[in-house]
Amino acid sequence: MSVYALGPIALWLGLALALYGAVVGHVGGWRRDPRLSEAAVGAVFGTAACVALAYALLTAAFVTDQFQFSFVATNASRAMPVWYKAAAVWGGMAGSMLLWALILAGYSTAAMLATRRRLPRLAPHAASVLLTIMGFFLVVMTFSSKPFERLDFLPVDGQGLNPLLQNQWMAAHPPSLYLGYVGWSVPFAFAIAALITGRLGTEWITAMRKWALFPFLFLTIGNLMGSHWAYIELGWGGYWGWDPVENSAIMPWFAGTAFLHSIMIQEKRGMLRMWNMALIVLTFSLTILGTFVTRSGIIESVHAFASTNVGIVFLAFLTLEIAVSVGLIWWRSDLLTTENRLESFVSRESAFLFNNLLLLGIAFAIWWGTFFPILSEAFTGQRISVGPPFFNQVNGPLSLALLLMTGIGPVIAWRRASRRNLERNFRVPLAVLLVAGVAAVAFGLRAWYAVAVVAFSAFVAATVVQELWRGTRARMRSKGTGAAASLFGLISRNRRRYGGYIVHIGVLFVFAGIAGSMFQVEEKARLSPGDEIAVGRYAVEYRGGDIEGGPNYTATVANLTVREGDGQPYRVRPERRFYPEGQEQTTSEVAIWSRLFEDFYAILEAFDPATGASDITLIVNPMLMWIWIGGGVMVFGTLIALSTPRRTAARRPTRDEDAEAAEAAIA
Amino acid sequence: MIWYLAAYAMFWAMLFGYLMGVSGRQQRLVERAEELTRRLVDRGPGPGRGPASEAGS
Repeated sequence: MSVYALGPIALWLGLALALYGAVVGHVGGWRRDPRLSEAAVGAVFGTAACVALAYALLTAAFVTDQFQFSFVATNASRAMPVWYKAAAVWGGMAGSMLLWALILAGYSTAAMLATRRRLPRLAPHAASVLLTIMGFFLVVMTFSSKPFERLDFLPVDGQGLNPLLQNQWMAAHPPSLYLGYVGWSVPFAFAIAALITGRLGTEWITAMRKWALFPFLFLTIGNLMGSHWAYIELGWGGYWGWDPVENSAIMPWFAGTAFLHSIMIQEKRGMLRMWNMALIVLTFSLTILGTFVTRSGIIESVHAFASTNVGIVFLAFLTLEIAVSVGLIWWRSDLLTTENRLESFVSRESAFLFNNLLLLGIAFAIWWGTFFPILSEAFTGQRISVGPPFFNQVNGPLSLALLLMTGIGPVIAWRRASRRNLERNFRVPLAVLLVAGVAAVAFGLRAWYAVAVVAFSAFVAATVVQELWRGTRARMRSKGTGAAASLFGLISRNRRRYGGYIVHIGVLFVFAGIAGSMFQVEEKARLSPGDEIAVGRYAVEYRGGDIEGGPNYTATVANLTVREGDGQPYRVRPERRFYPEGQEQTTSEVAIWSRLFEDFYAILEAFDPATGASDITLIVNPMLMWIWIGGGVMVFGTLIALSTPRRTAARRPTRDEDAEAAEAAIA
Repeated sequence: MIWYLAAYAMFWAMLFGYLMGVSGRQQRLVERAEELTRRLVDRGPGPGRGPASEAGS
């Protein structure tokens, strides 16, 4: 018997353990039976081990060319580099389900290790919820998308991975995105546990803050990697095409960001309990919806897997999950009443609430545009897709309002901002806003959106710098340390707050990059060797084409020399690659001359070997680098916020602790 | 509290109306483009042929 026979056995055993744990977790939690609760936690560990074994076996099958498995034969070939063979595991449906299960297994194990002693009342129920989600994925892999399904014959070679996916960014993008998607399962599971047990104070919120930052971090990284891949691999000059699958990945990011902000209100003021419950249910539901969109083929997308019957299974799971969650929230609505009330429109609570509305508004607008083909077909009988102009038009104003709130929210006073507070915190930033806006117009900016981005970004930057300066100055006075040491100490002392500020600075950079794309310049030309063409400030000379061979492809290459003004010439070589094996696909490998304030982007559309002429598209993308820099700063800020020691996490007496103390006294 | 609920409802009503407006406009543009394409196809290749010119002759 081959060792690979253990693969399906591991999946079946994992499914049995998941179902067992899902039942005993709830029973143990409900009866407060420590043995049953521990059994559920043990089932989490056991399921994780089974899934890890299945994943390791599938990876080994890919690396050692086991083409007797249908999934391996469809997604790998002998000529592929070993790194891409390992990454090809998530290049198709069944393997990506297994990767999802593996990541969920990792999160579930870590969550149980971290919480089963700290949150003994919630952990068994949370284990149950996590095992239910795991059980769903294992059902899909054992009954529908089987990673270890065998062929009736042994092919000599496999079909190979889609050439578009043979890129280092695309290899790393799905795991990161899945770490983001799947990570929301943990806060969702503890929210459901809080609803079941009625422990709806700050206990679960405080415990889940870092567990919500992890998926936020990885969704940010995953979306950035996906954008970067689209920019360098798809060859159309842009980084975000508002494709349904891209949209599905960004919607949970917006909902999750809203959740991360609004839990601060619950921690600080005991408010927005029902809102936070609704937000985490929405965020988790959007991750399942995203998977449904990718797997079902319900909406056409360049990214989606082929249409499969798995879509209906996902839809059923999504419907059940929403129904149960809404039912639980309804059942516990009395306990979800707020401790305090909003006292004024002009307060941090209101600012955060408005920020939440904008984030959800953007998510809703994206959902509307993504599902418009289905909506239009339902209401008019005609299936119509809305394209990037729709998304840009509706999200532009909402994003600008959100940018403004990024500056207002963190510095406005809690409860009710006095006139003195407003003057003290906003006088300088508002002056900076005005000066930046006037300067932008004076320097020739005419597009209102770009002027607003410059002015609002300056406002946000001013609020952050002002906060940092005040904190640093106070520390310099009290501690007698230098400016750098004081700033470092300030950030170290309150990493959550200042990590958030750094994320906001990253957002500004991303906005600058997005606004820059409004000034994109594009030229298309058919060039013969020796021809020259001007694009913006650049003079481009075509020096003919070459035909080159790669490990598993043949490439036609255009040789271009680019000169900016009187500067040194720079050589760029865009390619078109033909992959003869499997799907016989052609891909475009763009050439990018990337600098801090401008990218020069060249695409080879076609090459005629008889004449040596090439059809070439040349694009100048201002400020694009700032999207990647901003993304990096956002990741850095999130890591700082994540590094908060547990002892400095927000602590205040909670209803849960009061209840616990009362229970202990009665016992 | 009533003011917050009113503001909340107004936000979603405005957003919904805005989305309906923009997507409806896009829908009309697509329908118009399809209509023009259909008429071009009906006219067939070459100048002066097709139902429009026949009606005029």
